[in-house]
This record gives sequence, C-alpha cells and structure tokens, in this order.
Amino acid sequence: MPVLSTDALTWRVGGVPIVDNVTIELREGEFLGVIGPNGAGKTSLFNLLSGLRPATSGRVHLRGEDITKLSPHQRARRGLGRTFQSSSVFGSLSVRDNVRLAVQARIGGSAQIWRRSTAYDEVVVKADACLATVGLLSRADAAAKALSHGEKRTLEIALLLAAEPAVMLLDEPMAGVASADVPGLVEVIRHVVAEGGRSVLMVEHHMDVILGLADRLAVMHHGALLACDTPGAVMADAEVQAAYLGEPL
Amino acid sequence: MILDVAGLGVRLSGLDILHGVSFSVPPSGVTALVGRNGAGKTTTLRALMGLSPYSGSASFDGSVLSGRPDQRVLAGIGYVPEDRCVFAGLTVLENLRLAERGRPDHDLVYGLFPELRDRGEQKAGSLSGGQQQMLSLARVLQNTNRLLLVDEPTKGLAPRVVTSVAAVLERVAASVPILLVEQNLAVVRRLASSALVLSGGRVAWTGGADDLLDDADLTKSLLGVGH
Repeated sequence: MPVLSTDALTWRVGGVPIVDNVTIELREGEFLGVIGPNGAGKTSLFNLLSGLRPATSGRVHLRGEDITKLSPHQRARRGLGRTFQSSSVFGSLSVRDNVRLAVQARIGGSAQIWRRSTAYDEVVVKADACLATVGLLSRADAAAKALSHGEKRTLEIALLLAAEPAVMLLDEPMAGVASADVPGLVEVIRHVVAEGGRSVLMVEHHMDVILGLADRLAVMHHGALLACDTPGAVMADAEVQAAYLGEPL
Repeated sequence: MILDVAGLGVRLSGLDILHGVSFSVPPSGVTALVGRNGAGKTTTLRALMGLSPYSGSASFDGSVLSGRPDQRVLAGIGYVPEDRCVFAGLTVLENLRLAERGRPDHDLVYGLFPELRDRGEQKAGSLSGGQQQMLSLARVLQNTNRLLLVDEPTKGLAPRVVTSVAAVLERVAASVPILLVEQNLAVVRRLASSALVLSGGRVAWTGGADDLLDDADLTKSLLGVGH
C-alpha cells in the first residue's frame, strides 16, 4: 500500500484547472521528486495534499485513510508535514525557541498552568535533538533573523522534524541557497530521510540536487501529470525536455 | 566607470553587514556580484538604491549618488529586486504603468516578453514564478536606464525559464551595464565579463569572471564550490 496517494485530484479556480486529474502514489520510504515549469501546479498540489486548499474533486489517502476532507492540522497529526517555498521562521525568536514552539505544537499542553516543571525541559531537549539532527545546535541561541538564508532553510527542516512526520512535503528547499551551502543542505535532507525511514515528496528546480536524491521523478505540466518514472527515463523524455528543461545555458 | 563605490558600510539592527566595500562597475557588460548567503550582496544593492542607510560614498557616471530611491531611479538606475516584488493584486498592465517614467518603450518589453502582452489584464499574483520574474524585469526595462542593478533574477525558476531570462539579460547588457547578483554560476559564466566576490560584508576578490570561474581553487575558497 502506498503511504500517500491521490486519485484524480483536481483543483479548479474560476473553472480553470490548476491541478488537473492527478493520480500519483508515494511508496513507503520513497523519495519522489516533483519537477515542472513555473506555474505547472506543483505548489498547488502540495496545498491540496497538506489541506491548505480544498480539492474541487478527487481524493487524497494517507496510509489508506481518506484525508481529503481533513484540515491541515489533522493531517499534520497523522504524520504529514510540509515546508514552504518562501522562508517562514520567527525572525525575532531564537533558533531554539522557533523549534520549541513547533515541539509544543506537536505535544500540546502549552496553556496548562499546572504542568510539571520538567515538562519545559522535555520540550527543550526535543527541540535541541531536532537542531542536532540538522546540524544547527551550535546556533541555538542566535536570533533566527541572524541566520544566513541557507541556515534558515535548514531551520525549517528542524521545525518539520519537531512535528515527527512520516511523510515530508518539501517545497523548493534549495531556492535562493548559495551554491556553497547546497551540498550541506542536501546532506541534511538525506540524513533526516534515512534516519526516520521517511517518505518524501520534494519540489525542486535544482536538477543536480533532485537527480541525486530522487528514486522517481514526477513531472507536472499545465496542472497535469506529464510523466512519473525513474530519473533516467524522465530526463530522456522528449516531452519533458521541451516543457521543462529547454536548451542548456 | 559608470559606478564607483568607496567604503560602503551598512549597519542594521546593531550588526555590521557591510564593512567598507569598494568597487567599480565598468560602463558596459555584466559585472557579477557573487558570494555565499549573508555575504552582503543584496544589502549592497539596497544601499546603492538608497533603501538602506549607509556610510561611505558612491558616484554614478561621475556624480555623487544621493537622495531618495525614486531620485536614483530618475537618475537612470533601474533596480530589479530579489523575489520579484510584483503587485499581486494589480494586473500586468497596471504593474507596468506604475513603473513607467518618461517615454516607456512598450515594444521593447513585449518583444522581450511576448507573454506579457497576452496577459495584460491578468492579476500579477496569478502569474507563474517565471512570468512574475519577466514582469519584474519588464517594469524596469520599459524605461531608459543607464545602469541596472538586478538581484537573483533566476531564483526559483525552472531550467527552461532560467535560459530565457539569461538570454534577455544578455540582450539588454549589449546596451546597458548590469550589476548582477546571481547564485547560478552557469548564468554568471554566460553573462558576466567581470566579477566581484563579497565575503562577510567585505570585498574578497575582484577580476574577470572567467578568471574566477576557471580557477577551481579560487571558486572553492571564495564560493565553496568545485573540486
């Protein structure tokens, strides 16, 4: 059984199909890359999967359960986590406090007055474990706004880990990251995926990165699934070359 | 030189971002401004546009660069900011009209970006990332510029669109000098004749773009790539 799947998933805006009849499966432990031209519907697909947008028609299943009508937080509780295209951290909070908030959101109880005093320590320990996993523990006390762009994207991976997702949706994690910082972030993702035996759906335009990570590649074009196959087969596809890759620089 | 920058310093929220940055931009071709994240590239462009307070000085075509951002635009400096910054709730045409000054050359931008002519009444927020980048460039290119400051124009774009944007910048650079912040070194190699590397808010290296990109030790030590 696939860990995450869609069946004829469609999202229309004013009658225009933004996501058009997409049927796709993410297998257990698989790294599935999603590529396609700007405006192809990749982020919109993520919005439907994570519940940020309601599907016009079609279904989404997580481990066999129909989650089509569930809210984003209900999907997150079931183990579906995502990052966003644009960097989204609390700049004025410390790196640790950013993750601490995410841990608290996961375990709940932040409003309980009569909590054990050690509960706070547990949250910090969990937050620090997430930071250690992504290699940011040495920056725990820095304000998030003082991080470089690459470090902020890494922090977002730590925020995602705090939610303990079994399935991760990563939306262009390399966007705007300096070439020098890309290999480090790739290793963080590789480590996080392997450590948790997680399944991943990742949108990325950085072809070297996606080819190095993905088991299969899904190609979207005009909202529809153009191809879904091994990276070698997809890269050799003439339609994919015309729609997405174009002429080399 | 079209632009001479001397001792540019920027301090934001108590942190020194730029420490006495000095460099020059020749009157033709593309000068690449490269460096790791946080090196101060975007801050440099923002300071030159008067969008960040700064110390030091800059002269533009022989005159001291000063005044509000709009005055610098009127002096002939076109600025294409990072992340496109289009007005999402306005149409493509409205975005273009807001940025017009003097006698805009619509034929030029529609020649460069034919898609924009077809999408004039479409809200900019509903454009794809590549189309928004085209609009962001078109807003500036419709006017007469004597220098362009362009910040990461290929960020987040599909490979085919990266090639298109690079081709447009190559055409534009034939008539207007460009100071280009860019992470994609393949784009730098195609477009830039000279390069400037920032590191930790300081100038770490200046010279020919090919001299930088052809030297594996140099790119490794300055940009952390290669080998």
